[in-house]
Amino acid sequence: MNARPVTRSRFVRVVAGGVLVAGAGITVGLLIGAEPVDVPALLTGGGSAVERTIFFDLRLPRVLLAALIGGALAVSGAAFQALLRNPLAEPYLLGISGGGSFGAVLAIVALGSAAAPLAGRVPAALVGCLAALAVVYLVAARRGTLHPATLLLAGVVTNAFFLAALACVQYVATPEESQAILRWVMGGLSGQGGPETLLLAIVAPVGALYLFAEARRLDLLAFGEETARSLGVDVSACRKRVFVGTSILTAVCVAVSGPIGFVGLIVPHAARMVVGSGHRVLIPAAFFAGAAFLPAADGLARVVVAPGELPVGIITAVVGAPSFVALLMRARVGEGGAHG
Amino acid sequence: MGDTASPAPALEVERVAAGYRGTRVLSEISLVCAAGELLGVLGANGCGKSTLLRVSAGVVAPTSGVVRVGGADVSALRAREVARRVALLPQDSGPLYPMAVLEAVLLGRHPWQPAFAFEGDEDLRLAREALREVDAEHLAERDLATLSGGERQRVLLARALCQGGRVLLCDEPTSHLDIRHQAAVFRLLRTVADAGRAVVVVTHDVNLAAQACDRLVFLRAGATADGVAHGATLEAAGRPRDVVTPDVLRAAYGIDVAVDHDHDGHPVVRRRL
Repeated sequence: MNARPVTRSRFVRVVAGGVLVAGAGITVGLLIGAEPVDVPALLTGGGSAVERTIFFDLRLPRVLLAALIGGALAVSGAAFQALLRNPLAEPYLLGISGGGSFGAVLAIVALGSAAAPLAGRVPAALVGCLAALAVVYLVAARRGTLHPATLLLAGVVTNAFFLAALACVQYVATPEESQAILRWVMGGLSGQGGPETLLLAIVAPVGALYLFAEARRLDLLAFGEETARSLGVDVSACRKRVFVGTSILTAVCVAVSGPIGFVGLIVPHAARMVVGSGHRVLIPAAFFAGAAFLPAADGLARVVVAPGELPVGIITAVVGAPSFVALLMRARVGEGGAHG
Repeated sequence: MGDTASPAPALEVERVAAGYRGTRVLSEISLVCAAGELLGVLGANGCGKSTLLRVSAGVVAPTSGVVRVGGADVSALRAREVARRVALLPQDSGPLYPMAVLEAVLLGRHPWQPAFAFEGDEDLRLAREALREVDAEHLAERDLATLSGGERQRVLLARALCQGGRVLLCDEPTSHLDIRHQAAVFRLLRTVADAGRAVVVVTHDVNLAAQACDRLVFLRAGATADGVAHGATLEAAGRPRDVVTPDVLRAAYGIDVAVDHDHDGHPVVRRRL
């Protein structure tokens, strides 16, 4: 193992590499689609009106949205794993996916599945997310500090409760509503873009920078609570800031796209394997890796069953679960052979 | 205790009481550790030795009493300022993910780095210097998780040294170590103290502490009466040959022992099953 101190020049290299990787993922997302368009011609001012609409009004905002959501989820996951001192943690463990889904489902049933997302299920899901987070926070913070084990258990239980409530609503819903509910719960970007992209274009970078500001303290938290305290970290305050940051960032993503699984779990691990566990490089690396992964996965979701479309959450799960197993096996090998 | 003519001692704990959620752990403990001094803290399991270190490091606030570092009241300082003056070597679990030794030592620079800082040449120089001081420079590139217990303690000690304070507090640095490495850790702490730092070490090894330390402090676990814990008190404090006696050990540990002396006059405790 090589020591990799986080110097300024290494940080710059990681960010530059990350921008290239994200650019590649976004390019893949832009190039593939059910409807073939001549991208070089479009970029030089050519192409038909239909092609222009498909590319500039539909595909581009959606691909950018996927990049922003992917980056936001990955950054949340990286910070959340350090906060809970648990490599298996992902942002949805906080009850966000359950609360958000329940809110969205109520909106779908009340307003019908045809209502504009931003006028119905997005704000409703956001309210649901925040309600779940408030419950988790109040339960976990009772002793003055957010203890990782309590936080985790409170999140799991809150999630289970909201999913049960959701199942209850879905059981009495009409088949058409039920179909819309199923689609939402799987997580997807179908028909999204435009205003949602603008929302994420503000929230994702701000949230990522906010968590980046905690990066060095996350290194210390991941090492141990007492070590962090003895090195001058106010552990309680830091945990609360990271909790609030990851929560709001994840809640906005869930409200827009539904719970897209595995991005927040696997992208941070993949980034960690490349740049190491120092959060000052891990957080930017995770952001750009997520911003590359989700647009590419969403591109796949648009073509595998064309002219139909899969929820991208299915793609991320199908790709993510085996990749995670591969990462685990590789880590195990590293542990065994590291003594030399 | 201490030289009253000298300026403020490096570490001064004055009538400190502490506890967690209503349970009293320490009751009116006072002690002083001067620069260049190695002070051993001994006492039964769970009697409050670790709490005493946490309070001394400003990690836990005392319920009453004062901790002063170089004359400054710790409760009046910000956490980062305390961390620049006092280093604590806790019994922690270690990093969550693989981490190279040099990176672990660099964590010690945190109290000195502004927000959004990256490791500069000065940080790297200090980290390598600290590793050299504990004779662990050759471990810099190793994964912390692959080190032996003795190597690991040296590296964590380097992190504390790299933190730059004049006070070093070590919580059972020899636990899980074999007798050779136990002796090595105490020799190292002796060297660190001789270089001018005030070093407080919590330990269960009375004999090693009696050899290495300038002074020893024995805590006695507090009695619990009517369901109320009264907190640990100071049983004895002084030079090893004065305080390592059958009476003090009976009071501190509730065990009968014989005490001999080796050729250098250090007390040696003998136990029987």
